[in-house]
Amino acid sequence: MLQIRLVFIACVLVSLGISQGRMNGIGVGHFNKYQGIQNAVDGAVELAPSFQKNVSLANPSTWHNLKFAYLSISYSGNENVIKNPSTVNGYSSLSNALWVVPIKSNSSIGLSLSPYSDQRLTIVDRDTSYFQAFDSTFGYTRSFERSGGILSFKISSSLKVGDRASLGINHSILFGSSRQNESITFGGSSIIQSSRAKYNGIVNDLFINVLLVDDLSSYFKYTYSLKPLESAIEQKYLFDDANGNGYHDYSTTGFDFPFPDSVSASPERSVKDIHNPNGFKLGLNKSFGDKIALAFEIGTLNDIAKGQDSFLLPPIPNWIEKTNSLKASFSYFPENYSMRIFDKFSFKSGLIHHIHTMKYNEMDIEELGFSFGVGFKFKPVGNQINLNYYFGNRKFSNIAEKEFIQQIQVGISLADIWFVKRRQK
Amino acid sequence: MKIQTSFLKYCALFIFIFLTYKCSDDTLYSDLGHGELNIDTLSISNIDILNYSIAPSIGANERLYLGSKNGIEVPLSLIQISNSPYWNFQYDSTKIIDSLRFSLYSNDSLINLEETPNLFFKSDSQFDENTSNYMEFSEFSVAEWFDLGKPELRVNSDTSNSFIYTELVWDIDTLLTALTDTLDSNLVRSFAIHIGNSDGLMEFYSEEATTGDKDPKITMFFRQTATIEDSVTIDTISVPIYSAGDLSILKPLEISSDSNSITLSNGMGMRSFLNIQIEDNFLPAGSVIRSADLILNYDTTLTNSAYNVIIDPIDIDTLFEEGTYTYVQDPYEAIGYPYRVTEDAENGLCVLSIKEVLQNISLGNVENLGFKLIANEKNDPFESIRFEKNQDMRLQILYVTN
Repeated sequence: MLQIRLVFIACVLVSLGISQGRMNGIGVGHFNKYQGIQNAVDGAVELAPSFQKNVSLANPSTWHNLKFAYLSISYSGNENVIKNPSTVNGYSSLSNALWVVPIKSNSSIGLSLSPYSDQRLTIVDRDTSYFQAFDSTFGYTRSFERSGGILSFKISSSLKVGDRASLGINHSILFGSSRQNESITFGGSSIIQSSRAKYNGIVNDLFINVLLVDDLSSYFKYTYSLKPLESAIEQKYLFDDANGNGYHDYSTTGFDFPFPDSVSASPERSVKDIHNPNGFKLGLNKSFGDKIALAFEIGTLNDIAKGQDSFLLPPIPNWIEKTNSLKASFSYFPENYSMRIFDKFSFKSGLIHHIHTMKYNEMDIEELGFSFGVGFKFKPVGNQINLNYYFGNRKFSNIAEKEFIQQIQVGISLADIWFVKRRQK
Repeated sequence: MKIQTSFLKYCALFIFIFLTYKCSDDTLYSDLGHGELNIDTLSISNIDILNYSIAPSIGANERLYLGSKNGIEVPLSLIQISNSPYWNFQYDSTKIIDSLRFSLYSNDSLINLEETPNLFFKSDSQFDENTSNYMEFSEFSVAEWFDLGKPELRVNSDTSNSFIYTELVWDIDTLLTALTDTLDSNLVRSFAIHIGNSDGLMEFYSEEATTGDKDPKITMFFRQTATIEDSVTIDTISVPIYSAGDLSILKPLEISSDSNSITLSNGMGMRSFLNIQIEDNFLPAGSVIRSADLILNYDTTLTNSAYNVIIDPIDIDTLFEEGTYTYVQDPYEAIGYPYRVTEDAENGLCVLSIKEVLQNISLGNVENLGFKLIANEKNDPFESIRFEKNQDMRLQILYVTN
């Protein structure tokens, strides 16, 4: 128990690390679903079963196949590396927390919390620009600093429809906030435009799972926005950050200009329809006996939002308009009743390929990654601890240097029987 | 079970080390030319000026003057001695006041006794160091004051025989009763130094000049009787009683209005009103000013040393009268802190930073009623500065807009 507490405290402390990633500066940030794998338990694929035979924790339409209620938590550490100029950025955070309860093998209900997008970024002008003012020439640089992001709280459910088909739904409530400082630095201090944005929206996923033949299943997911993401933006008054702390304040080291109490922020304005995902994903899963499965997924997701130009200017002034994804995985499941140590291990390996088409500049981002994971099953109820490693290359069509990505995820899934009356002792 | 616990422990440790080690934060670099913040400039040379004069008042000056220089006459300087508790020694049976000496200090080693001023006393003459001026003392007559005569001169030197200061000491024992009169409810202990006709100028340290050692003061010498264990001791002690305020009274000059230049002088009471022609929306909404410099050029042949100039935005101008250029009191009341700016004019140029008030004018927090330009009271009151109104008189604003 003490060890669990220590690990928890350590994870919380580590989570405070600031992150960087070029995609964090695009639009409303880097979507979690495109940052490596989504959770350590499922591995590379989302729809096809990889947690257990016939169960994927990312696909609610398979949850009724669980024999116990599960509490599953995944935590990830990410690293983005660019060689020239040499930048290494790492961060860690909770990647998924899920609680799912199967109901009489016919249906299920689940709640989960996971990051939806990450906006943490500090980006500085590559070159110094010059400005002639009266008799002087000023050298100035621009920079953006962004923090915060969007979280997703999902309420999910599944329903078995006959022996060969089942349905599932994710009702994702998006919420969160971000803070952005746009700066122009010259003459010894920065003039900063500080903005805050609060987000809310609802995105739904519908899942269909059909058993085609005995060992071949098909999966379908349709994503749409019930309430496209909207934002309430508060833009502060420009200020000269004389004390250099990034905040508009009084300080013993100097007063920012103008005095904070002499200005007021612009009235909060609401921008609707800044992110409106719409798309589908198709998956096939072929089982080879009880222990081995091959899966393949293909999908496309369009952002059909119309209000992006009214939103805050992103550090990288572009938006992901369309993403095509291709995923493949190989899964080796543990033996259910064996007492041998080796039979308690599961293995997962996968390939992920994304192509993001951007809204402006005809810029594309292509990512190719490979993941490998190992799981260990313990206790008769099927508790699992999983460790997954993902690495890949992200190529920006307008930047020569590739971004090398690494991700390590650890997940633990604890099973129990919920809502059953215990016999009095 | 032992294996499983051990496995969990090692996993947790590995993950902790990995995550802790890998957290790093490098700044990314990119072309950010799309940024919404832009630097811009604005130059305003449409500036109206209006010179005016007030009765000179230099209460904050670090010198007391007597005489005349550059056509400016100083007939009188006033010193008010503080209401010290030492005055009650007169009524203390253990103390006997022996003598009183009034002292003034000068850094002039060549003062002749014939040139020194007479000291006068009047127990009920009041003045305010900050506001009193010639208009209150235009009827001044030594006949109404008690003449204490000329001082004794004491030239002080250090051990290497280098001059330090000259002390002018008056014996004022005869004033003991008047200075300690507790029945006089209006006792203010005012002294004046006055000189008849003089071509030169005498300077003395005022109370603003030092922290006490060279302030105008009265030194009280007294004997104190004390009884300790049946033995009676008598000590002779002196205590200083400092000036509570002092002021040189300057005679105003008749000045004609000139709209081609700005002349500032404390001795002549010359000030100037500036109206910088800025429109309501002179800056784009949301802009922040990085610098706003009012640039004034002056003729260095008229002003030799650094001259300190003050600019203060006008708050109220209720006393201003069209066509009137001479006032007893300044017709413009200024806002002062935090918008009051002071700057030395040097090498023919004076650059006054007025970004604080301009920013607030652009925000609508302050109304633009113009600016008052005055000479700092710490300047030599017999010096003046003249800024030429030409193309070089301008306001340069550097700002950032979003």
